[in-house]
Amino acid sequence: MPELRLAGCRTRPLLGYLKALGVFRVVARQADPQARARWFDGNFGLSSALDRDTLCDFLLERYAPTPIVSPWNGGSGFFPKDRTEPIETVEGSRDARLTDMRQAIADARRVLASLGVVEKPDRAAKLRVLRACRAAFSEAALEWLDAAVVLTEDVAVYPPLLGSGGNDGRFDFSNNYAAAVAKALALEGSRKTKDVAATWLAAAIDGDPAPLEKMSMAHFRRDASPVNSPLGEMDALGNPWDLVLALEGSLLLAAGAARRYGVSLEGTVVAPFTARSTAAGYGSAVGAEKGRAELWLPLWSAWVTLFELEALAREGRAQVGRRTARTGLDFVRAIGELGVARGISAFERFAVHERAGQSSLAVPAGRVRVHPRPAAAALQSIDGWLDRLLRYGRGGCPAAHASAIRRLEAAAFAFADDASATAACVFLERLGEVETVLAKAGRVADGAGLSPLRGVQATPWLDAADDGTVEFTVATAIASLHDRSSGRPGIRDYLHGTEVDERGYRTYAVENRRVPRLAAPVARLAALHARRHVDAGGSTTSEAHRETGTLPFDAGTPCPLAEARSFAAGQLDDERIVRLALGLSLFEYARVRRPLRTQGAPPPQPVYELLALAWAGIPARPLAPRPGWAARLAAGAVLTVLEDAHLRLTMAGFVPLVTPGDLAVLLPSGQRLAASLLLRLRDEERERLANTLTKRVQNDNATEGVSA
Amino acid sequence: MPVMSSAYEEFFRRATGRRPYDYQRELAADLPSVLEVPTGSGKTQALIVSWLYQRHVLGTAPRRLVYALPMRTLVEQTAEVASAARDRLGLAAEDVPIHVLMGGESPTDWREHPERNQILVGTIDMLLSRALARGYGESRFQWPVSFGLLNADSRWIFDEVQLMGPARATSAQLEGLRTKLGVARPCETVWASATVDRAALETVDRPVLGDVLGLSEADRAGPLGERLVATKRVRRADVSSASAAERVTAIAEAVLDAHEPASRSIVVFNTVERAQAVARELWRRTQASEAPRIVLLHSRFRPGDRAARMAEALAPVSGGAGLIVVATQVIEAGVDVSSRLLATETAPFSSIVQRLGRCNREGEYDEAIVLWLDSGSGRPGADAKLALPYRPEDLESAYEALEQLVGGSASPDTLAGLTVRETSEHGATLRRRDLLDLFDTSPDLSGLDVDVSQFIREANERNVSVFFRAIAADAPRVLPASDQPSPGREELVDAPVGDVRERRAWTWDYLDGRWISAPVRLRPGEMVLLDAAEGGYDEWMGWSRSLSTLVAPVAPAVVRREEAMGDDPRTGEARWVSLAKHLVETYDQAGAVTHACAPYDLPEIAVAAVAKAAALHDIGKAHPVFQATLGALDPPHDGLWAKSARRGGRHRRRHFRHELASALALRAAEGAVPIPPDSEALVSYLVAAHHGRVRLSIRPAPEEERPPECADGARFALGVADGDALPELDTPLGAFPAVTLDLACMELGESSWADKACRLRDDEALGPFRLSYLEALLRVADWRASA
Repeated sequence: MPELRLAGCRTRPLLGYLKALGVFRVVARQADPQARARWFDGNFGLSSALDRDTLCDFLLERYAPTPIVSPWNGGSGFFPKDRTEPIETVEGSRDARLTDMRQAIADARRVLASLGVVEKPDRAAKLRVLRACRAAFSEAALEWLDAAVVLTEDVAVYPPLLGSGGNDGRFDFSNNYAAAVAKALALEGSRKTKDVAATWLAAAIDGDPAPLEKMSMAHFRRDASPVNSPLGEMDALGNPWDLVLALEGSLLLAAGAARRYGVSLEGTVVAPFTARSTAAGYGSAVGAEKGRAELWLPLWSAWVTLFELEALAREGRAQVGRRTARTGLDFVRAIGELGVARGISAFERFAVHERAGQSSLAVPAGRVRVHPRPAAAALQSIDGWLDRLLRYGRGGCPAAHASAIRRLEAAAFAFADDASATAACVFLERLGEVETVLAKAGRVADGAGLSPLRGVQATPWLDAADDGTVEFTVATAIASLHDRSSGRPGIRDYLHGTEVDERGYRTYAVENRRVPRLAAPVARLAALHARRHVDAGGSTTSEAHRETGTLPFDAGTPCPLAEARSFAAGQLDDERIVRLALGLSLFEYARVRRPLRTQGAPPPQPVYELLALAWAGIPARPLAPRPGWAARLAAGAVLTVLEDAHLRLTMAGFVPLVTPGDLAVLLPSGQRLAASLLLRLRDEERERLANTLTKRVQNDNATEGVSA
Repeated sequence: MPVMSSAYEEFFRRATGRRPYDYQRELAADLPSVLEVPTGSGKTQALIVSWLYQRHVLGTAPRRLVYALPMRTLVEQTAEVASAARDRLGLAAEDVPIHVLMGGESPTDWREHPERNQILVGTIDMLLSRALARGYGESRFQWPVSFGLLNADSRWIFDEVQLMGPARATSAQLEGLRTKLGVARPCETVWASATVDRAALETVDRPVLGDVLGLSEADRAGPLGERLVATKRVRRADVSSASAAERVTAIAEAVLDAHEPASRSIVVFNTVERAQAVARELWRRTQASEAPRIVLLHSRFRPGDRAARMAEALAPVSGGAGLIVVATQVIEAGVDVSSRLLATETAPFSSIVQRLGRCNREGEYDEAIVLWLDSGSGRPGADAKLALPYRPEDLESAYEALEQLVGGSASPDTLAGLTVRETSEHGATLRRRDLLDLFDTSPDLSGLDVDVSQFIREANERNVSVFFRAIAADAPRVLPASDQPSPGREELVDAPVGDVRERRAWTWDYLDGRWISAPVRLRPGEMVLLDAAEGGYDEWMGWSRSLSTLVAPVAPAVVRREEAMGDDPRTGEARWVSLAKHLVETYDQAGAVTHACAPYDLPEIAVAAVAKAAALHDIGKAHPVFQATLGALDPPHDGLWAKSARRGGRHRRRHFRHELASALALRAAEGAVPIPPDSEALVSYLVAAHHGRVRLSIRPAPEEERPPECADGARFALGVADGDALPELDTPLGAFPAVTLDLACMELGESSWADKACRLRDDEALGPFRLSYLEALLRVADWRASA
């Protein structure tokens, strides 16, 4: 069978994609039921009994246009104020190819007459007309109705591809189709010759230049370019065959909406390959706010039949976990989870925007390739929460919330799309940002029914986001700090200002935040550490306890010594560490068994290391910081704490090989020390520190530390 | 046909004890499309007895009589008429089993015997939803079977057409589409009513109404005629008032005032809520021992309670203070009861005519009263909300007509003389493409199922079937199936979707086989589990949101579990059966069933495909995953097994479906098995579809992961993966070679499963109805072989 490559039918613009479907649809329906089609390199391939010439011959001589009439729309040619000549030309023609169209026009007129509708129907009448048309139209004419309108019981909803029910602003698809059909088939009365029609057809399928007609292609070809400004529309030029074939193609996307009745009343959700806009991933400058919807049009590389394509459109959806993709973000996630029909190689994404005069434009927004992305599992773990959040963000929430949520959505999209650790880290940073912003206006968020993320396991996130940087390791070590028993605030509460209420639910609605949100990351962590000692100490009245102190948190993923040294030495991007920790702290770490990576061998940090030893001791001889230490460090009293710690180590049987006086010459900043000492070191590394920094002696007081 | 005529007359007399009317005789001679005779003239009997005659004596009628009624109350009554006729004729129950379909039916039911004569009686919701492959209260995996059987070899009766709503057009379209798309065995439809809106039955795919049969002149001159002139005086009671509570009081007063001792009064309301409110008020006012009894009757009762209330309402009234039946539209249609006083709200005129048929039915009272409870609705400018569930325009025209009748008499003949305008609006129309969508029952795992309720009921009349169980107040969102067996029919109550939405409610999650309480939209017809402690029902009031006391649970007669995606309900049966033996047994059964059912109007090769498919349907059970599962249950010896003696096996691959493995094996062995190339696609389809789970598309279950033992990049779906190997095995068609499975067909392209399946569906010689009939026959054969 001849295989044709249709250079005029490319995946972009939308017009090209739809034309491709249109050619395929009419060939398979009217010329060769065995026809198959595929995409390659952005071009459309058609394999059928027709070669290039017989294809043109078929279209020009034998092709019977599918009836497309919309008697429910003003401007459709059925009402006194409309341009009626295109429909009348078809009605007046005796051409056998137009039998179905004439039948449809007659049916439409009969429906209008039976309902007594004589002028552009109002809302209620429109619904009646639609219902009556769906009851009366021939199978052929029904395809258009079902592509343009999804009828539910109380309302009609409109798949965005065809505007509002086959009407885009002032552009009525059906009336323009009738006009284009007359010209494309060179009907009597169209004042066009067959030669001109043939030139147009060649241009439409081969992409060759041809003289154009004064006509609009609506958003099938409009994009955001200035040439297509709304005012320029009147003088728009086009090729009649383009419109005819594109509308034939749009019929393939007939909603098959019966499948979806009762689920949602949104056109964007019931129409196949259509989603609500996600403000992300556009290469263009078009503002996301105006987004009406997105089209995710499938590209496939195997030769498919029309049956398959129709079945695909009838399913027309992608699945995220157990639910249907509803937004652009969902779509990109579904693709990553392979929640799309097998054999689709990519999706061409178009953003449908609304502009002045309610006409739309379809902006190409890139191609998303289908391949498994492990990132998907991570996003799945916060699906419900994210969905609620995004819905909140689209409603009337404070501007700060809306913009943080939009940034998060964009990050989620980027992460779902490329699944790189970098994108995951950006997402985590945005996640932390949103949490902080929500907690800041906690009452508002709480009132809107939002509550902090809970019960989400950290492991998939760590797997997805570990970019191998030292910053990520340190951030994880901080974020993973937690208590084995509940009751005390978690590290996230110190970072964001959330709180766990009496019933054990974490909430945004908090009166007094625990830690001031200091700008400087290290100062912030130091303050957190100090405050934590106060809170931990406050939970006991035992005199001994106050004397011995406790570790700031019961548990956490240990930080490798090398990374801790780098942090203590101030060699890292502290801002990023805190931003990451803000996001990472929202997950659960009790079950994380994933050791953190370590690399490099930065020079020792003796002060930090000695203090770290005094902070935790070794497994055989655990120690704990005294309650005031962290606060004093944060306040800059490094030497005092160092001396105190020196004494304490000595008493515990670890005699430091250097004195505080030796170290006093190069004391690091107290805040940095307090921040670094939040990190838990690995057992074996503390052991090694004990061996290299101290001399072990048996000491009678050795029991004191153990009891702590 | 005088010979037939006298033979039928004798048959009818035996079945009913009396001579047939003219129209009843005519019905047996020539089946009309529409039967239009007044209520009480024996149309149910006529329809059933004529079918029995044509089926049992002549053998000309379809095997199944499918009797669809708009209300549950009529279902039992119709089933009784049928069984009375059957008994009088001396037919055994197994000769003509009568099945009542009301949801919650057991899996061993009418579907197992497609070759038998059967009478199915049910509500339109139950029957039409099954004919549209979305059976209410039916396991989704049985949908294709019911669809196949109800659209073949069936005579459909739609009775009380005026109450059918959107189902009227749907039933006509379905009949038209059956004609256009072809059926495996003949189907017929008769619409019956006292008043038929003929235009509503003329639809795009069935544009010609067909013959209408009514009373003959002789019928009108005979005893039937008396009913037509029975008088009833119309009085009006102004019960209009601003507040609902005051209206209730006024109505109660007016009714008690007009009621006569020792007689039956019937009060009809447009909504259950108003009927309940008035009944409550009447109970309050009739505490005294000499007061009349009050019985409330509507559609929202459990079957047992409904039967009891109905019996009370219909019991003969002699002496005493009499009886007041407070009812909804349930009393409008078909219920054979008469009253001295008939009170009604303003309602569409066709309903008024029906309601008035319950008053002085046979002219037995000298002075019968129709009391028009004029609560203001239907008056110009009245609140449109008062009109619900009807359209204000319809009440307005009825109001005008009632005003004309006040003071005069309203005999059926007078009413017939009035023409009252009623709106007929197009609801949703079932089109060919909708039907093709419905044919695809593949579990839509994200909950996007086609909702057929728009084709069956008006939105405000949508119900779910609820049942009550004791559930802890802090019960989790998910209840295991083991804790909560499926509800029995006796437990189910209809409740409006909107009433239930506000409560803690659990629905069946067929994917994981558990009851789950999720904030999803409830589907009409769905079974919903509620906590008995939260109330909502009692035996006198029926379902009511305002009841808050504990609902007394009813124990289901049969304990069974709902079916889940991964279930193989008949694999753990009573005995160990080897795979080879099971294939032989199913092959034999398939031959017998197809022979007995004798599908006609189908290519021979397609009919033969059923037996071929039966011979191979379970070859996928040779898959190591399946054999490992049965192997763990201690089989008596080595070998390939199809059935185990006990249940309890769990496949090591979640979601594993052996029938998918069977279908893929068949494709892998193409050419090596004696199947004509022309029927290969059909045989593989039937094999894949034999549990109703794998039909038009092959997709992994949501969140399904690649089995760990499979190579990266291996395609997988439903527990089957590229590279899985099946050993050689014996089948009734000879040795089946060892094969390696390949899921390329789940992708788009040359070998696509979807392409082949859709071509079968759209093949003119097959089409959706015939295809699912063949599916049903194979499944029946499999059930019988497994029994």
